[in-house]
Amino acid sequence: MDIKDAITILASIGFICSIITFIGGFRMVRKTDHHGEPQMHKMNGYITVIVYVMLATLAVSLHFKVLLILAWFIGFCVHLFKLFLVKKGLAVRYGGYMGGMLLIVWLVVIFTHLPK
Amino acid sequence: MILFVIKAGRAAALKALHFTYGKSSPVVASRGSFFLPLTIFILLSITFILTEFHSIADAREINVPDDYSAIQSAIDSAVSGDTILVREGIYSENLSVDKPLSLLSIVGAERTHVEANEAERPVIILRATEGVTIRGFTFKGSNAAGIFLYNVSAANINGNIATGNHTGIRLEHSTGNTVTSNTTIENMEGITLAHSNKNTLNDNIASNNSEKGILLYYSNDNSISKNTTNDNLWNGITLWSSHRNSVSDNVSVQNTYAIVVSDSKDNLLSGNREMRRIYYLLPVVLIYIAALLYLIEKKLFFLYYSRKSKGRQA
Repeated sequence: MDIKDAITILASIGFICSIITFIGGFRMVRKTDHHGEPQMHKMNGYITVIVYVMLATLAVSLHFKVLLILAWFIGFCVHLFKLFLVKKGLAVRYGGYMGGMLLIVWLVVIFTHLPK
Repeated sequence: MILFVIKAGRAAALKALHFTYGKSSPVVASRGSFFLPLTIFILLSITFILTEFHSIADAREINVPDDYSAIQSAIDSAVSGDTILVREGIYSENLSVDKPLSLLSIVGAERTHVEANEAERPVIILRATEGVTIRGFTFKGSNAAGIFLYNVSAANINGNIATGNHTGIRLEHSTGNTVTSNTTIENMEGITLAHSNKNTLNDNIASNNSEKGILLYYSNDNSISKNTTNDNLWNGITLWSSHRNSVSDNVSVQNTYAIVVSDSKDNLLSGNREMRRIYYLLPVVLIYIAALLYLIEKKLFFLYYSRKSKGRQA
């Protein structure tokens, strides 16, 4: 297994986490009684951000390009903005859109990290 | 015209020699002491050059179907160095070339088709020759090969289309040939090199073939660069028992396997873009895995927090 395979596996884990987080967040918005769902959503969310940062570090260290750094940074900003909205109590109103955006970010990540 | 110049040159040279050493007048001899040897030298040089390059200067252009209705008839009548220009049309022939000549289409491969008259033979076979150029044809309908080079060197196969054959372009026991900008689609194999060394495969398309795009076996020191091998049923590029080949900057997408190197050593693979067909399904598979994991995780969290809340209540 070389570094490219490792990146693909890591990207896959991140993608899975982002989907789980998205489903959890979506259900939290709709449902009122939930046992442990906010904690689950929070945990998956933080794992997703950590995986994202790891991937970004690996990708930039392999190919140091300004555009690449910019793309990863924009993706990271989307994550941060989502967190910001949640902290401001706007999760119910805008959380769904932001979650969708995060899912799109992760789709781009997974497609760009397919084995090449 | 050229022959006339040669003859005129020779005659002038002889005349000058005769003039110098035969009936030269004292006036001319004194004045021409410098000019005459120079004239002789120039004329002799021209004669020599023209005589030396007589064979090249004598190369002809043969037009098909103007001079010959069949391409093979033109090839048979041609001598080394001739150029055969073929007009657009559909020619039902199996061609055989065994002398260095250029076979060029006038309007390009899209409108100049050569179809195998006998499907068991290659549409065009180059045999035991060197320096042949084949450019701008569509070769199709052979159970052997569209273009077949056997024991050929320094040939230039450029801008052709090979489709509906067993193998689009096949090189066997051939060395130092250049295969560029050809399209081999919907054959069984796109381009095959067997026991062939030091050839250059550049900027070709070997796609939609029912087996392999580019296949090398027992072939060494070849350069395979900037080719596109997409949508082949098996491998994009295959190296089998082939050593020291350079495979660079190729695109190999949507094959079962992109680049396969087997029983080969010292091959240089760089800058190739590969993507196996199955990986396109990966995100879909991951979504299913994620949905399943969500249900499991939710159950676990539910159990944990239910017990926790019960404990608090108790």
